[in-house]
Amino acid sequence: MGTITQPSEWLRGVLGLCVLRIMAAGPTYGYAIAAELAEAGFGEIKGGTLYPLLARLEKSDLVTAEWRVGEGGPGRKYFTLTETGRAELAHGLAQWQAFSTRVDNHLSTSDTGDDLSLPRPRHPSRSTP
Amino acid sequence: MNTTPHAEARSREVWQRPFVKAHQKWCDDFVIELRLRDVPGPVIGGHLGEVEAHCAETGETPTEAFGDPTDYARQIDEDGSPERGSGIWKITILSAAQVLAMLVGTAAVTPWARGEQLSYNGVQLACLGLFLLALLSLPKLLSPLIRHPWAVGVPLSALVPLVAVGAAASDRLGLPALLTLPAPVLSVGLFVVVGVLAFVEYRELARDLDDDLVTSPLASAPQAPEAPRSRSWVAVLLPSCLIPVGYLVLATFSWIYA
Repeated sequence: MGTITQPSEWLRGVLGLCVLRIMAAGPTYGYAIAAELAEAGFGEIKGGTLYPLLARLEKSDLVTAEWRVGEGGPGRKYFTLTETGRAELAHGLAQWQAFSTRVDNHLSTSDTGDDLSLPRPRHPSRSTP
Repeated sequence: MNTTPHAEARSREVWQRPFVKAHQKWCDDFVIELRLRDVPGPVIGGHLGEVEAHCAETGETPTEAFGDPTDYARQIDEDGSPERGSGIWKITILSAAQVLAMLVGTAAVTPWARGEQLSYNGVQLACLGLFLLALLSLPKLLSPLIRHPWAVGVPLSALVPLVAVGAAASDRLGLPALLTLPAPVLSVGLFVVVGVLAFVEYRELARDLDDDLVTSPLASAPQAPEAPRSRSWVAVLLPSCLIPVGYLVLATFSWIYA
């Protein structure tokens, strides 16, 4: 399987939106976000991927962060969605829905109504000059 | 117990934490990379706190969860901090100016003792410029210097005696003087300049004292021993006083052996 059809490559573009969506339910922390993403079927998101993203969200004022005493652990950094974050989430969701519909339409139908599972040679007139 | 904010900050230093001691190499490399990027100590401690909290929940090691510490430090500080000052550059410029003033000022002591003027030929001026350039590029060279001390450190250290030997040898060639300066004024005046710059450097270092500590936002480790307070003040005073003291020592020897 080539890198173009790797779901992990697709996830890279929408991970921020998925994380914001999880935070919409209330304040949460890194490990809980990773666990929720895994439960949703996104696979294991490593700390090295998740925390730089959380740092970017915090820097962009989409979330606020607060350290709280952990239950049996050393402590947890809780992230809370700000009003700007909520607006960004709503905007991102609308953008994603429009984009995914466009991709879905493009992938599931063709201009001739052919079955796309069958390879078809490119039309000479459509080739790039 | 009545503690000062600085003493309290010291008790929260990440180096006291069992997690950091258990993964010392990873944490050292992570902190060094962020230090080189001029990230304030408490911000570094916050990132290290995230690593500790995450590893405590998952049972993973920092390498398993976050990969290579240097790469992770670069990722977490991808955009840099907007509030970050140009601390390393300020201290470097202050130190470079002091070293230059010391080299010129102490070189003027021997001609002063002989009743002559200080003169520089073209080669000597070029050597001084080269030395200043090497000093000013230290912040850029710091990262490769720490990672490859032999490959970068040895050529860099060899540059100093080479420049000194080049400057001394050119003196014997009888080249014409391009710059002639009054030796007593230079010796005394540049010592005053070094003193003023040392005081500015001391103020700069003392101001950043708490920012220098890599403190953890996590609950303090039980029975964490408090590091002696004097250590941090020595770390501020020593670099500030080093060049004025060096100036006096060099000037004394130059006067005696003139």
